Amino acid sequence: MSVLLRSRTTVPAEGVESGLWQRLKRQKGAMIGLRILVLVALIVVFGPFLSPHGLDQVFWDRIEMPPDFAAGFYFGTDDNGRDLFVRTMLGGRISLAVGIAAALVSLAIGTVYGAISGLIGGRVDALMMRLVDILYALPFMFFVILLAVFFGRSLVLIFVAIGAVEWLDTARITRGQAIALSKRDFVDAARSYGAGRLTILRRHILPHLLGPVVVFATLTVPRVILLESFLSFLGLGVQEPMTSWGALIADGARLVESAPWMLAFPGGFLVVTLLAFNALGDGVREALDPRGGS
Amino acid sequence: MKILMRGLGLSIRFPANAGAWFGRRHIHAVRDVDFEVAQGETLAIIGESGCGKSTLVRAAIGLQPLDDGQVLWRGIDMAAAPPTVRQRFRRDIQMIFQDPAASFDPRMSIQDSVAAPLAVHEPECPPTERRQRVVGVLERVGLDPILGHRLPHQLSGGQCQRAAIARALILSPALIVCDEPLASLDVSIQAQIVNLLLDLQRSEGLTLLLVSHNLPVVRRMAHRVMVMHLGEVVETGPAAEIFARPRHPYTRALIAAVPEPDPAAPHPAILPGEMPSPLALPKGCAFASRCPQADKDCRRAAPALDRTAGTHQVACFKA
Amino acid sequence: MTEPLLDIDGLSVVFPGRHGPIRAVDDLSLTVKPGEVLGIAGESGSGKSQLLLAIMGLLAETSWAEGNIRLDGADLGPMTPGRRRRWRAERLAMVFQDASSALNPYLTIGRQLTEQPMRARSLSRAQADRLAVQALERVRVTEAKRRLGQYPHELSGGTRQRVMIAMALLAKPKLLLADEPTTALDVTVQAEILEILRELAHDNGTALILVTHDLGVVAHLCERVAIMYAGRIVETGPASQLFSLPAHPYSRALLAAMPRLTDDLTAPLRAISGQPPDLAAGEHGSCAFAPRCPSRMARCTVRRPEMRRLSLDHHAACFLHEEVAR
Repeated sequence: MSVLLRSRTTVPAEGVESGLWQRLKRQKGAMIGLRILVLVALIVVFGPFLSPHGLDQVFWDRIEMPPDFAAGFYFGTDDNGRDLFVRTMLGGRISLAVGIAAALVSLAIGTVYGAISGLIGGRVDALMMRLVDILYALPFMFFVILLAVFFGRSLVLIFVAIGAVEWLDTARITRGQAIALSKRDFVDAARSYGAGRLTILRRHILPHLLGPVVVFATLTVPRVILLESFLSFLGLGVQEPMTSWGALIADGARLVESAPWMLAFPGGFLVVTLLAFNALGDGVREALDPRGGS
Repeated sequence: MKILMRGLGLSIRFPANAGAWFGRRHIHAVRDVDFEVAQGETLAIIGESGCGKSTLVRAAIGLQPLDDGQVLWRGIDMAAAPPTVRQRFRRDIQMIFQDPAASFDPRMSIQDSVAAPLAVHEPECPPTERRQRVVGVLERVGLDPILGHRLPHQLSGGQCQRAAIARALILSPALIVCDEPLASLDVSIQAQIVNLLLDLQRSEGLTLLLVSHNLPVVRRMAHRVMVMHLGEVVETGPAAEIFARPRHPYTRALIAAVPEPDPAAPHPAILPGEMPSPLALPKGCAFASRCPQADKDCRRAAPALDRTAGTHQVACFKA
Repeated sequence: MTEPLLDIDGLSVVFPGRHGPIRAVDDLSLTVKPGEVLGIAGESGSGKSQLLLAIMGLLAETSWAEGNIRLDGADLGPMTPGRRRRWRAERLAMVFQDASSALNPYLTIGRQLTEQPMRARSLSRAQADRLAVQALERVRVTEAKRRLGQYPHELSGGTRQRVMIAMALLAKPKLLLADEPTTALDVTVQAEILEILRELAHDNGTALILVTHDLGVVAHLCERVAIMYAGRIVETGPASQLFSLPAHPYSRALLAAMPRLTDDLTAPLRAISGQPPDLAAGEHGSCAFAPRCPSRMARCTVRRPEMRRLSLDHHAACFLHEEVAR
């Protein structure tokens, strides 16, 4: 704190890891978000065991029925007579799995790509970034439809499509950070005593990128879940009888007048999850800010 | 006297409008500069901000590529030397920076940062010996080794600069480049660092290449002084002579502008006029627009440094 | 004796700290007479900049001020916030250390210079432009008319600082506050800025408080000097006396530690040992300079010395002078 009082301030250290968890714990919103996420994860993983019904089990006598606790249809049934509770849980597994996995893969690719581009600089950097620009310019839907035509609808397709788009943002952000870092005095100091590029990347650049990337991850996961939902909504996503929140919401939206519960349950889960991720992301960003939390 | 480092015809340009595809213009930050540093001496480079003094020493240590000229270390061209030789030179030349706190990785403890040059140049050095050497070097710069566990922001500015000197010393270099080593320190701490550097030079026979705008400190530390103005050397000579009998009007103006902490001393002298833009340098002497003695000749042609004039050389028609 | 223009009594600026409140400025009292040029010198952490911000009413939101400030005969404390702001705006102006960040990069110099006079005195654009050109000429900016159409990045650092001073002048302040106005400049430019400030104080009768770490600047500009250490004034007096016969050990040590062009190079620089005070450690029962003081006595670590009058206008807070004053 005394740093603030000096007339010529020194640069405060950014986010020392040991204090990160302590500072995060002080962020109320982030902790609520984290608890909700854990809860949602537990529900979608263990929820299906609470119901006697299967994913594609059709109950011909119960088509489009509202929730009925006595019979074990907690969320009601859909227009094909399937138990919505089980489908929402299993859809959540797919949504969360795709979200987290695609986000991690895109973050890993983007971070390394961006850091290398920023650190090397010059022509290599220009070339690498123009490639990113070109991929950016490809219309996302066109790209997805093209993939669907060639490979058919599958989870892998969603994975590839989302990953191909998401890493571009990460690469741009980490490149900017890497350039800023490589101009800092302590990187010059490392160069001056003869440290090589790899040493500098490993010791002085990547550890500093960790903070922003963690923040970016918590914001990327919900975006990926949304993208997956969007693709499934358009019918380009997972294939029946497998489902995801996006696919369920698509069905629900179609029948919102006759069977509102079909939209309400998967939609509610999606909204709560997205809000929780965003709250967590905000909190992590605050906690990593060296000026925050004294 | 053995010459350790010699710069020959050094020129460095920066693109003024980087990113432009056509019509690129350049700022000539350093123009045809020669210098040499002898074993055990301190060469100070002085001049206003933007005169190229920091760029020059960054080039001397290899942080800044040269557009022209070469830097010889013990007579060998650094840029042309094979990587293994160059890496050995890197051990011999170390640097301390203007803002000591910023020159440390904020996530690394002071002792890890001080040990980092060892990890690069002597990776085979066992951990116990490495620790001993860090403690030894911290003690040599007057820093309690217990402070080594701290992070840079937990030290005061003066302690940080001591740690930076320790990091520069750990490989027992021959030359240390000091880029404004006092500029971000408090007055009471500046004197500590000046005395420390002078003591180290005496005890270890260190050679110092000092960049500073603090003339009283330069007078105290330097054996020889080089005065730069807009990328050129305008005067160079023994420090005692430069301060007692400055010959270039620019050197005189720099010295006269220093405010002495004494109300009875003459007020600092004003240097009127505007410095020419480095993008549009005049044909004649670059200092003519501010020089009280400038006349037609000075605006027609630029005076060259009189390199035959012995130890005290000056680039001025009127000197 | 005329009433002081600025009368500060028992001012503290307090920040919340992990181990209790941190007093950046600690129970400080100070007066400035109309037209007086006061230099406040101190190192980092001395609280000199926080003192200026408290006078200007620009303290950070996390901190708060205690104590009284009287400005031009009125106590600022009881005023409503709006009235306090206007009262200050009509009497105070400030020049910052870094003119390049204090000027808006997207507006021309002319727009920034004329904004305040056009609003405060409802002048036309042409009238305001004329005033702006005059103000620029006062601070020796060449080609003043052309400058009005230029943007801050087109000017040199020295010219930018002169524009800042011109802008402060246009507000016609009774008291100008300058926070390290020459620290970011070369000595060659610094000399002229000092000359301009000196002229202003002399010709307009504008009082000036100059905050700096550079005793050389203080020596050539200020009539009276206050030396600050750890949030308190340790010595204050006329510049001529304070520089020739400093009374407080800190002032003495500080002056001795400054390298000069006239130094005898055979003697080493007399450094002050130790580190600047850590305000967060908060030792309020003793003299803050005691750990570094060459003349430390037993009582220095037990009690805090009060301000003593040494001569007409020369005060110091040190036990060395307690007996003398009695």
